[in-house]
Amino acid sequence: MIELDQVVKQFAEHRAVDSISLKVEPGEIFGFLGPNGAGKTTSIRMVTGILPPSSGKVLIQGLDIQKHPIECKRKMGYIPDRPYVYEKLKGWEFLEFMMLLYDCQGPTAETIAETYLERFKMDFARDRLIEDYSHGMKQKLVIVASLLHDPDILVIDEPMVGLDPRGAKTLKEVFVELTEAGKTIFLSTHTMSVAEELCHRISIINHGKILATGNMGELKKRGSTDDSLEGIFLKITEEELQEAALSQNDSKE
Amino acid sequence: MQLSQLLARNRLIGFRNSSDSKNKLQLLVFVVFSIMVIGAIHGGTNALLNKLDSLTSYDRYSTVLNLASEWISVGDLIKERLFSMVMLAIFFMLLFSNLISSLGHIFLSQDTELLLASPRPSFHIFRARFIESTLSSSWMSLFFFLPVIFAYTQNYQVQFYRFLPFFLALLPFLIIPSCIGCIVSLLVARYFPIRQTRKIFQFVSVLFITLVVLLVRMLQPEKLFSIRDFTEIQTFIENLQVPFFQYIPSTWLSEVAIALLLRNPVEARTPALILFSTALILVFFSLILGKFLFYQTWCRTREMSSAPVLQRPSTSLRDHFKWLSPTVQSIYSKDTILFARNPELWSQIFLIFAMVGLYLYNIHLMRLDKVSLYSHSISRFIAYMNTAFVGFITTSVSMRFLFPALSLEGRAFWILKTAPFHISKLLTYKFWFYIPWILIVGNAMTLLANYILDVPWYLYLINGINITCICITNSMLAICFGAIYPNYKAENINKIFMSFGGTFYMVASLAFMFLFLMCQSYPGILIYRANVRNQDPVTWQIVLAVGWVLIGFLIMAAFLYFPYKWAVRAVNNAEAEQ
Repeated sequence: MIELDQVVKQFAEHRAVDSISLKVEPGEIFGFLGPNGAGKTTSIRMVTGILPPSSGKVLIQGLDIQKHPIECKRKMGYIPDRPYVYEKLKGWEFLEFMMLLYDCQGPTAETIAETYLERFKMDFARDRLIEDYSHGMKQKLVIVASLLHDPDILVIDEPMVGLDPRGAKTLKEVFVELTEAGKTIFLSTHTMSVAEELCHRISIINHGKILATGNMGELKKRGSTDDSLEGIFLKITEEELQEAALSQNDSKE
Repeated sequence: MQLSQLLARNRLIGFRNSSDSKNKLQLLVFVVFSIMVIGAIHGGTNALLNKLDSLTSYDRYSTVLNLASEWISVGDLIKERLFSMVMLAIFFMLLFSNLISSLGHIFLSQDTELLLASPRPSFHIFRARFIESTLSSSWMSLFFFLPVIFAYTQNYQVQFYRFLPFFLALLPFLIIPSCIGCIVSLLVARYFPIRQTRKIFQFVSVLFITLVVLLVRMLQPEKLFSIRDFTEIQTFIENLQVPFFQYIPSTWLSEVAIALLLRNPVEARTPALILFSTALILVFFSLILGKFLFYQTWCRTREMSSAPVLQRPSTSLRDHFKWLSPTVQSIYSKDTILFARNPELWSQIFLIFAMVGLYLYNIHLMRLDKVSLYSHSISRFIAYMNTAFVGFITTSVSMRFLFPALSLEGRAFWILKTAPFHISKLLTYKFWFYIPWILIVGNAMTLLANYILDVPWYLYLINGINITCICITNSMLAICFGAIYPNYKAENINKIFMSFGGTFYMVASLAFMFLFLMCQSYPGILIYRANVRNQDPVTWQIVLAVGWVLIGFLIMAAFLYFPYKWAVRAVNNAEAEQ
């Protein structure tokens, strides 16, 4: 379970995340939607413990990640939007490195690695240098690496970028299987169709604030429309822009 | 497994994986080059020490012995002083490389985010970075330093095992600058935007090194070998016995070495103890600071990376290129703005000024009027050879600025590749952008040296033509070799020119200068004979001279044409990485 309680992130003059609170239950895929610069990646970095919140709490399975970073990180797998991989390592060597980094080396992790490499049709590239991989291949390798220690929680920033249709389909299947096994998935994306198809609940964020949270039915109600998620998203973010413009005019007057 | 071990393992595997046939060839060239450099340093030091041994002779320096109450060997004193000087230089080199490298390793490593997301304490990440930084900034200094050490042990005929404690004392000597670099980086990065700070550090380091080099030269260390410059021999000896600085690690390490080489090894204990205790205290402070500041400061570097500290140049620079075609205008204005905003590049100008200043100062110090009756002939010879030396300096300048010109397009090279102009023209655009500056440096140095040496008009002319040809060819070679051996992924400029391609360019450029000046020397000799000895050249000599000049220009044409052709092919085939 992931819980954010009044989380704020202040960068000098700029408030990137403004008092957001949410809860993601086990067995749930939670989508985080928002335009560019809305605060999605900053929120994800706080959830994974890469950045500390300026105020508020991030709880992972009930533990405060700032107070118990190691325990929390052991339970989590993270797939960044632009993953850094050691280009001079081969695919399997990178996976071995990740096993050692997460202290999960052994037959279980190796079986997980082999299984997912095969599912993502990456087994042919396991002994190739990563510098020869395409962007999509690197993305698949990082996905496999994030699953090696069998995490309870998976945090993903833009999961489908660079993936081919087959890879994207496999990833969706993996997400569903993981949630059926009681894992928690927290993902941010720009791809509305992915969010609509996969997520049990969705939060729409803009200018660091959560504008709406709920399942598709609740979001439709909030947006007062029967449109697709894309329509709801555009309507809600548009409304927020208009409100911001109005409040700016009021303050000038 | 410890994180530092894990990261070291990655590096080793990465190194093994990248050893394909092309890299093996480059490695071989690097190893051969390194062996040659080590051999040269070792041989040079050995020869110098042997020469100094002659100064200990009782017969020649009996005055010294009379003045001193005990046996004082002047040669040994000079050797000690030289050793201290080498140590001092190494210490400053270590300090500067550690300042730059610790900022890079601790705060700018790309894998830090991956490591921070893993269940490893942030303190372990800091510790691993600290070790990486120490190792990466120390090995180069050791590379230059060890041959000197071996030469000293051979000269003093000290058994190697007796000198082993020195290597133990070397450890804190390497750790101390690393700790200082680490502490300064942690504190500076906490209060300033890291990327800008790194640039400021690079600029200040280059400026400081320039000043140190100038200072050392102005102190005229050659006077160490010139007893005649001292009015009293006792002053000379006293001067040698006073240490440079007492409270500096290089002095402590020198004392350890000298005690092991010359005196009772027990005397090495005190300076060694000081070295170890200083290192321990600094390591303790570094780790404590790292424990409390690293994670917070790293987070802060993510927040402030875009805030500018250095003044950005005005974009009105573009107006200066309005007379050019829009394509050239856009490339030149971009290059000018990027150059001005990158202190890593423009700070090198200070080094060039220092080089030029040193060179002219050295020529001035020759005081040829006091050398001999043949001073005028020597000054003419030196003025002619000066072209080669100036050519060498312009080659170094081209290596720094022109060789990386194409690689510096970096990952944005695809923009130029997809732009509507023939990409091969980029080579000539870059050439014309830089050549005026190279010509100014080359011709100004030649003119000033000619003026100092008071050479006749014809040497002004010959040297002027020669240096212009050399500057043009070397600049074009630099652009072409930079295009043939590009490195679009390099994180800093040093990685671009300190490469196989950079070495190859240097060799090609020196070969050209040698061949070209050889061809141009015969006409010079004829003009000299005609002017000084009144020996007018006969017809066949004139024909031969014209022939040599033509051969020289043919060689120049070949050095311009073939590398250009290869470079055009390389640029056309270059992958537009993103």
